[in-house]
Amino acid sequence: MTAWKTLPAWARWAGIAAIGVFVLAVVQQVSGTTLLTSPNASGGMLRWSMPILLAGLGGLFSERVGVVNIGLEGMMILGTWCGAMGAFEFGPWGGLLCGLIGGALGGLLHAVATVQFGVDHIISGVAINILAPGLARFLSDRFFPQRGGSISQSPPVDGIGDFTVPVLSDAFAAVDDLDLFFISDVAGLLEGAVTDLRWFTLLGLLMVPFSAWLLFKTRIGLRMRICGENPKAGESLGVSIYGHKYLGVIISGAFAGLAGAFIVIELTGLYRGGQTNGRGFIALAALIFGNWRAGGVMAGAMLFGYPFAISLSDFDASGSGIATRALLLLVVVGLTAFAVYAYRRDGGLGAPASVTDAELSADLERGLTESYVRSVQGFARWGNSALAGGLAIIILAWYLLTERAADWVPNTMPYALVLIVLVFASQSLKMPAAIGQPFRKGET
Amino acid sequence: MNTPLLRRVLLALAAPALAAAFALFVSSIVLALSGSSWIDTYSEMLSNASKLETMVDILNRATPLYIAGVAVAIGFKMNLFNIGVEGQYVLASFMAAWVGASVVLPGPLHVGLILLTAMVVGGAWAGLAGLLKVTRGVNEVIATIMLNFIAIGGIIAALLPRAIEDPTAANQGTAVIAESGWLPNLNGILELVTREITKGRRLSGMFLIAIILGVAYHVIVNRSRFGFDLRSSGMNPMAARAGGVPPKRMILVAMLASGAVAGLIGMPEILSDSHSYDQGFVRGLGFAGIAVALLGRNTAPGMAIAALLFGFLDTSSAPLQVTGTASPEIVVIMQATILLTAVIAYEVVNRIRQTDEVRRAAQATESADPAADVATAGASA
Amino acid sequence: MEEDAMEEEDAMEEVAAGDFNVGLTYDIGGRGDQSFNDSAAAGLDRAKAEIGVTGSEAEPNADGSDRAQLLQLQADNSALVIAVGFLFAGDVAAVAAENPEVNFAVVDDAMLDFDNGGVPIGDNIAGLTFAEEQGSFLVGAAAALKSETGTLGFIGGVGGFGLIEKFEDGFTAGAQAVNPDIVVIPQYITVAPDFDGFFAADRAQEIALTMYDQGADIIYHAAGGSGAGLFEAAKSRSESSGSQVWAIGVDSDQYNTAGADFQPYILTSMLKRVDVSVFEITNAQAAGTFTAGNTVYDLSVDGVGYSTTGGYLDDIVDQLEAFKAQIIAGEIEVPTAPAG
Repeated sequence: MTAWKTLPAWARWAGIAAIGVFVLAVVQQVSGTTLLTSPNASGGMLRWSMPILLAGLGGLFSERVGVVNIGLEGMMILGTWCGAMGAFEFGPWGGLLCGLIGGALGGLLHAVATVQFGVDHIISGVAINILAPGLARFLSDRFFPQRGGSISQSPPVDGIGDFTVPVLSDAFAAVDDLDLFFISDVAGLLEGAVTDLRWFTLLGLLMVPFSAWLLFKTRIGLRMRICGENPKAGESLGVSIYGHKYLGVIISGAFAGLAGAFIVIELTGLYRGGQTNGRGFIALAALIFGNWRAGGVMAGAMLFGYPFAISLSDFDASGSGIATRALLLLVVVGLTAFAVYAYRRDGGLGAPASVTDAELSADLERGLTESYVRSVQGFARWGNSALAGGLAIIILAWYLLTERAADWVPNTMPYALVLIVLVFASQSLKMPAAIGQPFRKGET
Repeated sequence: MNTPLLRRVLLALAAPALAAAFALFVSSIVLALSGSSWIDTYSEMLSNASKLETMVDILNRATPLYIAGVAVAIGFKMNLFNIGVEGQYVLASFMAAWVGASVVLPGPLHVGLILLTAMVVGGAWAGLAGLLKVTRGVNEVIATIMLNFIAIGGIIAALLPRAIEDPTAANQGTAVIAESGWLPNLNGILELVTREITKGRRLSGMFLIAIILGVAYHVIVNRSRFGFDLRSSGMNPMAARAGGVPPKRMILVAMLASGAVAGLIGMPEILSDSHSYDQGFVRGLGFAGIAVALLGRNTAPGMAIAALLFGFLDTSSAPLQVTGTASPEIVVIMQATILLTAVIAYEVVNRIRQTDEVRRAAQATESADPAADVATAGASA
Repeated sequence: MEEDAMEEEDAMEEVAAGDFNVGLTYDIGGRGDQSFNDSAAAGLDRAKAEIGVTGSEAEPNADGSDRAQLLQLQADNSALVIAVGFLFAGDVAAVAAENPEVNFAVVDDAMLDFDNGGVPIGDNIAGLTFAEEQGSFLVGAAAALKSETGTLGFIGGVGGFGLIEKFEDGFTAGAQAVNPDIVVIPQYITVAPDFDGFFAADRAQEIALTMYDQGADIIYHAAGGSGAGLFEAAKSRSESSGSQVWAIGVDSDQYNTAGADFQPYILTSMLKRVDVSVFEITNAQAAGTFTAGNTVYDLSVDGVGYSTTGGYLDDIVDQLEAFKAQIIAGEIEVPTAPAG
């Protein structure tokens, strides 16, 4: 273990990734599919996680300045409409820019309501979510029919395009074709990532380190974060809280708008009512899953993107659901590993007591028996691993008793996964301290 | 003291009036931009709403909106954001329709069984989110969003094929519930004060249940010990805990109650309209309920007015189209504008009121205790 | 070209004159879907021009909660109310009973009371249904004749509620009639009650690309608005791989509606002539020959068919017409009910 800790960060991440691919390789071998490590899986994951990633980064900026943004969905819708309009009039890059502006305008509206007028953040967000689809439909009726679209959809627009990394792509493809256990699996996944990579996807990926740098390494980032952690202290240090909150929420809307533009320009090739499909809400889940950090948001987005991408290619003439069933086994492996980890973490001697002495004596005073309190304490120690182990057994039984996943499974699995992850991880998440709280200038 | 009273009344009326005026202003601009006459549009909406049959439509539309608002408001009172009302009521309606179609019982029992099933299923689905929150610390907003997707895309999709009565029908759904499971309509009662209701309009019996629910909500929240605990836990869980109210249990109870009420949202359709869960089942009322709760400030009378207003606007979209007066999207734009401006106006009025109170308190205590000035200002912050 | 020919044929029928109002009521989504609803609108436009009727068009609000109310309002002002989509079935039955002097028609529902031996639900209610499986059979045959890989794809918008499976079964039967060994890869985007599958062009695109990866060179969609994703996939795959792959449209002639960029990749479209049904029921109303009960628009009345716009099928039209004749004559029976 000590050797592991002396490794540089990139080596540790590479190690974790290698273990992950190894597990994938084993799981798909056992389940009789090759989809889990195919180029399709990684390429599809990148495409499908992108709207969630971009909107999630939007959520990150907003929540880091202390403003809950449940209106991401509505801002995304504005991004899709403006993205389509811009792409039709000015080409794909124009669409990207217009989508960004459209989303930013939604962000501005949210900022005016929440920062200026102190409206409850959730309320303002919900209002934006109601306003955006109606507005988009109304605008479509005004502007799309004469451009070859209609009230519910825009004319088709072009994508920005893609590129293939010349030598690498062929090299990975060649190794993938060798069908070597593990090595070809790694190559297959890498091949998907460097083949037909869209410029917009690359831009989105670059936004992750950029966001992390902006928020955590720059002075303006520090000022923005203080709005979310302790605005009063920030104010006393002379930070313009309103200004930075405005900035954060507008950036948030801009990212959500980019997410919408991505859907229009890269995924569907046109605007269509209802195409955001709740992804703004999923982005919020990715944000919380990612513990309010840029890298974490990316992990959360991929958690949604991966099973989704798998499910879209998980069929052939004989039917569907083989690879999705394999994902069940993957979940079992993950839960089992966590159960073992939690057992060692929580169950060992010297584990932190789950109730303090003060709470214990208070509980005894309330007439609870000590054995009850002890059993509660025991559950806190063993509960995580028991719960994870129990879930693993249930899902393993499901895996063993079915041959293919039912057709409703792929559309449900990402949501269930996020819920399971949050069940075990929620207590170690740390949200910005002053999130959702109204702030008024000059108050003590 | 007369002036402050007048001022208070005016302030209370100012927010909704301001919101309505601003929404009318925005809608008029939008209408003008799209080439429709705003005078014609508003007069068509009003003349339509003045018909008795349309009034029944408005009440029928307001009923589920109001129930949804109450469901959301119960959570809000406890500082819980139950965005999962949507999933809770759809799942509850599906299960209730399925159970209702599977049995034949004497009238009141049959209706009671369907209502009970809906409340239990809705309560259980919301309770799951509550349980995750109190035992595992899972944020209820995210949990309920995930549970929405799982309920509709997972559970109903998995069970619907088993519940379908006739696999060859175009509009597949559960079997139609036997007539013993239909809720009587209220036309007879309404006609005591009006002319005969024509054109097949029937005021759903759920309207009465919604009124009872509203009264119960008002009394429990404002007059009972439980309501006091709920509000105090919602405002300040630490203080409530010190006062002997376990916040975890309050969270669980609030989620269960919110979900149980959510279960009733689909009942006008199941008990009074289509009598089955099919492809045309109305979805989205859970999200509409959030708007109703916000607009009505979580109070029973406020939400009733909000539900009626939204009901009025919703029923206006059809005549505007049929007469070719305006695009139906204007209705959605009006709803969103009213909501957004109303919440902003409430906030502004609230601040004026707080400033007033501070000033008055300061004036009242100025001569007695100079230090009170600072204390009240601090307390109101 | 095919369209023009059909319209001329139709024009030769007797067209009555009428000055009544037709209340055309769309389902959620309304006019502008470049598919089903637009086809109904085209029928009304033609009736306005040729019969002289007036029309009022409307659609329910976003959650579909005011269908009955909308139908009643239409009935107040119209002699004939046409509802587009089977979701109107229950409400039309109720509203028609209240308005015996107005005639009603529902597209996509038979409006028959099967519990009582299949009599019309009301004396003033007509059902307008389509033999989608027959049209799908012909485009399936066309696909099999044109396929070079022997593998085809089918993308359904929403599975699990019966209607879309009809398209799949007809398509597969038609393909197998040409080539018994042909492989058809079917996939549905979502399962009822999740109706997003009709609006998920992005998912349709990924599914289509996977089908092309698996060797399919022609894909047929019955997925409403999601079809745009299929066309996008056909275009991008043809451009990137250098070998032509095709898409087949549905409901209306999508060669004309999908956009010029996609015309080189749309082999044909399965035509579901909702416009014909709307025009004919209006014509019947004008002529005083409205009859209650179900009318099935099948190949024999050109209620369904295939488009030849673009000229990609010119070399096989004869074979397709032969299949068509056999189906009309009853020599080929196309499966109508989904298997199982």
